[in-house]
Formats: sequence, structure tokens, C-alpha cells
Amino acid sequence: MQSLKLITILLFLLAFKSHSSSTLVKENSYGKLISYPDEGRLIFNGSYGKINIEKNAQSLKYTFYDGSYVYIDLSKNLLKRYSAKSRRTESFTFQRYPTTLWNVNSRVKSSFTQFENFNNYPDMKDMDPDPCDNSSGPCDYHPLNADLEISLTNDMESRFSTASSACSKERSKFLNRGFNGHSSLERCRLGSTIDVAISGVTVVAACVFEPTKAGCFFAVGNYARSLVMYGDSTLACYDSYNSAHEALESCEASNGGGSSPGSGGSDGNSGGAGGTGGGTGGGGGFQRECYTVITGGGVTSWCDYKPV
Amino acid sequence: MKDNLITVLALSPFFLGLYFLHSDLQLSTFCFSFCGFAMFCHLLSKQTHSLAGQVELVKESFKSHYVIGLIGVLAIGSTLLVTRAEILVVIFFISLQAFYFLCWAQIKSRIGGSYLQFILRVYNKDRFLAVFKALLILLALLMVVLEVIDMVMSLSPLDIRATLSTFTLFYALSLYEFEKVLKTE
Repeated sequence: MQSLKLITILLFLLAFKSHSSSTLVKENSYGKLISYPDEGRLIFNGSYGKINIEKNAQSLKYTFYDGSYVYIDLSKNLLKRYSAKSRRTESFTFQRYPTTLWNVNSRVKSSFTQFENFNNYPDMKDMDPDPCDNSSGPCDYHPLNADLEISLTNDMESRFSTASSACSKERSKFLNRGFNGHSSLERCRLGSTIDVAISGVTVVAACVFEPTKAGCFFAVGNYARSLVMYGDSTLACYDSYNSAHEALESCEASNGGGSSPGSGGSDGNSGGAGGTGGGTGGGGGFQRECYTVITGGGVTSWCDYKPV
Repeated sequence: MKDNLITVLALSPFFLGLYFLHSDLQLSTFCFSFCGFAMFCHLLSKQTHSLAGQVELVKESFKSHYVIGLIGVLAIGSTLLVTRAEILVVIFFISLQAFYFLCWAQIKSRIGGSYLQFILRVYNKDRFLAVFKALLILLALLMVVLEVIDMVMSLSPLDIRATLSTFTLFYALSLYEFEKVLKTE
């Protein structure tokens, strides 16, 4: 009994400790952003799942609920992305920015969009006292507690988008019907999977429950056939997926980089009511854009890095 | 020895069907349909041991049920004339049903009663097997539905390869119930 109490107290202490080490950075109707300075990370908690944001001086990593991630390393000019849906890791340099869509599931897309909306929400309540509140004009401080904020959300959004683009047909096929008319590999070979299950169970039925020579031979032959067809259909599904991918890539290549929006881009976009534009700068294939928004709660400033 | 030979003869169309499944769908459907007839002959071999007796039984069966017999034979033949997969699979089912009916006619003359009564009697003895087979048939029907949906979604011809061999197998296994009746007599 005593030990139980001790464990409960310890658990309370641990809970309090973990709670005390986190800080609520922002909260609005899209979700909330919690900072864990000890662990050097932030967590965005939205209705579509959590996004784990790990920030260092030169790198940023967004990790989604299913393990998909985007990793940006400014020191090495490297962009890496992993999709849990396609189980593919792709690496790019800032000079060779990806022209293909990131094939992730719709919940990750929604989560990303939500995070973008969360960031752009003009009337957000600032929980931390912001040093920029006392200054006027552009300010390099960002409430996310680091010297810069790298945002790929605008670009990602356009890559998720299937509308109003030159290769929308190819993109739609690749994203929605890439696997031989189906959206996923498992659905593509579902018929063959059921076939293998039926034929496997029939082998047991024909050779164990009701043993007959002819029946057992039939069942074994049928099982071998179903396994071959399962392999064939898996290959056909991958083949179709690769064809759709190639079609999209060639279309985007012929359209000059496809969906990468606004290369070069204009600077100083105002973000929200009463916003004023800031300065620009940067290099290495990325453009830095700083913003200042004057809201009811004060002045909020941040900088985005966008691929050019 | 003779029994084994007849079993091999009944099996050979099935395995030929499997062999041609990926190269010639028409020929493969013909083999699977012919397997229905081969299994019918296999069932008759359980009734008499002489070859002449078996031929006599086939003749009698075709004479007494000439409409069904004709439908079965025509269905087998027409699998070589049709190329569309949707029609091929329908013809295949017709031929299997025709020979299943001829097999049942042989058993009916021995035990009497309707087919439903026979099935209820068989599966009342073994409920587990009845549920097991019902599940298998449901899965097979689900597979057929998926094949049709896949055809619509991928805009490709109906893939009937799995259906052909699976339903031939079910046909062979259901004939085993008839063989059990003949053995007990």
C-alpha cells in the first residue's frame, strides 16, 4: 500500500516535471503550439494529429503523426523528405529543389494545411511576451524561440494541390489512381490477397478435413496459381505506380519545373489585417522574407525561407 | 491402379487450364469447363468398375437429361468461340451447373428426395464444415465483386483467372459429398 502511494507521488512529480518543462507558445482555433526548450523541440497539436518540430540553428525537421518527415539542413543545403505512405526517402539540394509531389496521405496534407493556417492566423493570441512588441518595423525575433523560421508550407501546399496546374491530370492520376486505378498498393492487390486466402483455406479443407486425392491436388494447384497471381498483381501495381510517376515527372519537366510556384518571387507580402511588409535577403537557392503583423495583441514578426 | 488413372484423367484438364491461364484465356476456360465433364465421369467411375459400364451410364444420363446434357456440351464448345471475358465466365458457370445437375441426377436416383433435403442432411452432421464452406463461398463472391469493381476502376477487361480455378475447385469439392453417398451404399 505504501509503495503504491510512493509510486503515485512519483508519477505526480514526473507529470509535474514534464508539464513544467513545456511552454505554450501559441493557441488559436487551429490548434496549439507547445515548446519544449529542454528537448529543443516544439509540438503543434491540431485536430489532424501532432506535428513534431525540431529546430536547431541550422536545421529544421517537421515530423508527422505517421512518421513522415521533412528535414531541412541549411548548413549542408540539404532537403530530405520521407513519406510513410510510399516508404520513400528523397534527398534534394536547394539548387535542385524537388519538382515532384510529395506522396503522403491526406491526413498529413490536412495537418500541414492546418499548421499553415495556424501560422497565418492574424489574430492569434501571443502567450509569450514578444521583444518585438516594443520595437517598430521589421524584427528578426520569432516567438518560436529561434533565430529563424524556415517555412515551406506555402510551397508544400502547392505541391499537395491538384487544381489549376499544367500537370493536374497526371498529378491526379499519380496521387489518386497511381496503383492501377487505385490509391494504395493494398487496395490494388486486394482481389489477389483474398484469392490467396481462399485458396489457402481450401487446401486445408480439401487435404485435411475432407481428404480426397483429386480434391487435394486441385487445391494445391489452385494455391500455387493464386501465389503466382499475387506476385504478378503486386508487380503490375508497382509498374503502374512507376509509370504514373514517370508521366508526372516528364510532364513537369516539359512545363519547366511544374508546380514550383513563383520562382524569384516578390518580397514583402503582407500577412493579415494591418500588416506591413519587411525586408528580404538570403541565398543558396532560398529566399528570406520577413514579415511584421500589427494585431490587436501587439506586433508579431517572423521570417520565412522559401525556395527560389 | 485403374482408379488412379481415372483420377489423373479427371485432374489433367484442371492443370492444363492452370497452364494456359496466363497465355490463352479461351483455351484455359475450355479446359476448366471440360474439367466439369471429367469430374462427372470420375463420379460415374465410383458406380461401376468396367469402362463399358461407365460409357453406358454416360449415355443413359445424356438420354434421360438430354436438354441439360446438350447445354453442358454446347457451353464447353462455345468457350472456344467467344473471346470476351465477361461472356466466357458466364458460359463457364453454365457448363459447371449443367454437369453438376447431371451428377445430382445420378445421386437422386439412388437416394431420392430433393437437393435441399440432401444438403441439409449432409451439413446437419457437420455444422463446422457447413459454416466453413459458407464462409469460403462468401469470400469467393466478394472476390468476384472486387474483380468487377477493379474492371470498372482500371478500365481494363474483367480478370476472371482467379474465378475460373476457384469455382472449378469448389465444384470438385462439392462432388465429394456425392462420392461419400456412393461409398456408403
